[in-house]
Amino acid sequence: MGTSELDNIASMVRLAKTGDKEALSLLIEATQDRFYKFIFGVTGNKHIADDVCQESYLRALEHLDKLRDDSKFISWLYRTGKNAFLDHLKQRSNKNVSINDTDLNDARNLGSEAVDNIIYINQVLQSLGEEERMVLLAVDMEGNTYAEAAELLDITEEAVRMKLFRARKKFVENFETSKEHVSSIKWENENEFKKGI
Amino acid sequence: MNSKKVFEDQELEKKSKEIFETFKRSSLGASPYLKTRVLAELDAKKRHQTVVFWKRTAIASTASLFLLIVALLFMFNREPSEGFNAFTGQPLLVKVSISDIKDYNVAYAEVELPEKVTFYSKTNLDVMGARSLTLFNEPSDKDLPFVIRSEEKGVKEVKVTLYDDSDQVILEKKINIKFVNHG
Repeated sequence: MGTSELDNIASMVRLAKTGDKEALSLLIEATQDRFYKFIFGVTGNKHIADDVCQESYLRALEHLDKLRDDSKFISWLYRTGKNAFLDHLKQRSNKNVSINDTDLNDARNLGSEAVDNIIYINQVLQSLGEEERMVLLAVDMEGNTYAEAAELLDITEEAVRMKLFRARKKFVENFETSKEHVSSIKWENENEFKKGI
Repeated sequence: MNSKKVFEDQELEKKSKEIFETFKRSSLGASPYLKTRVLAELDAKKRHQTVVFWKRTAIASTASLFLLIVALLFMFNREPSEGFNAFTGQPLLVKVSISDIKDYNVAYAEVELPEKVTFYSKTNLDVMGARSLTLFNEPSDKDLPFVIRSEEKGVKEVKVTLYDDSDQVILEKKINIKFVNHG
């Protein structure tokens, strides 16, 4: 995120703290898509991502007056998001929160050519541990430095470095395997379809 | 860290970032209703907090009302060396402060006195000797004053009930006043 964008967000936060509803609205608009992608990557489930996203904004905005440095809103939001997700996991500890058919269908409805890739990415992300997933998304998807990711996730820079190496290794290997596997299934189906003709 | 390991790390980083490019470019986004839901929920929470605030204020007002009455009684009749006691046979001014609950539009108050305690007034003889009285309140009034007198020593309970203009009870308070023999 560029300096001017951060300044812009800090200005919105300043106004939002005074109770300006327009500023609150703009603040959500400016951050929601990027934040949603992160949360979707972390949860791997569209419905859970919707809930966690909503809960995170509610918590972050309700206690906005406690944020001392307005330019740190993004870190504040991501930390809140991480906690909201962990709380969600605690509440649903007996339920399976992994990706399901509904979510795959939701993803397919996105209408992008890269939908298959999103599904593979999502599946592979879910094969990682929660912390590894968050670190990977914060650094490799969001483009944060180790220090920034450490601040976002409220862990040490050293922890980021260690988790990131393991996460990247698993992620890249599993992604390649998953893609090869899905391609071969597709190929077999195509041959059977031709035979049928 | 040897050069092979560094190379492996760099390769992994490059591949990982390439994979995420698809994710970043995707049209995957927050629900169009997210903003509306969040703002509506924040509004609802704010309204709820306001209600809680007023409830707490009402409770605090009741407590402060009681303390104020006690303080007034103390001011009018205190004895420097002992705790507060009212004297039997002596008129005692009681002021019920309503400034803290003026938003409730207190229309009138009913005051009920126990046995052996009566209202006292030099100018209004109808009131003299009565044990229950209705005091009407003007919007500008900050308190409801009345004067009582006890013929008997002991703790006497004075019951004050505040009503609004729909005859609904706003507040009910029992005040215990200790009377001791004069002299």
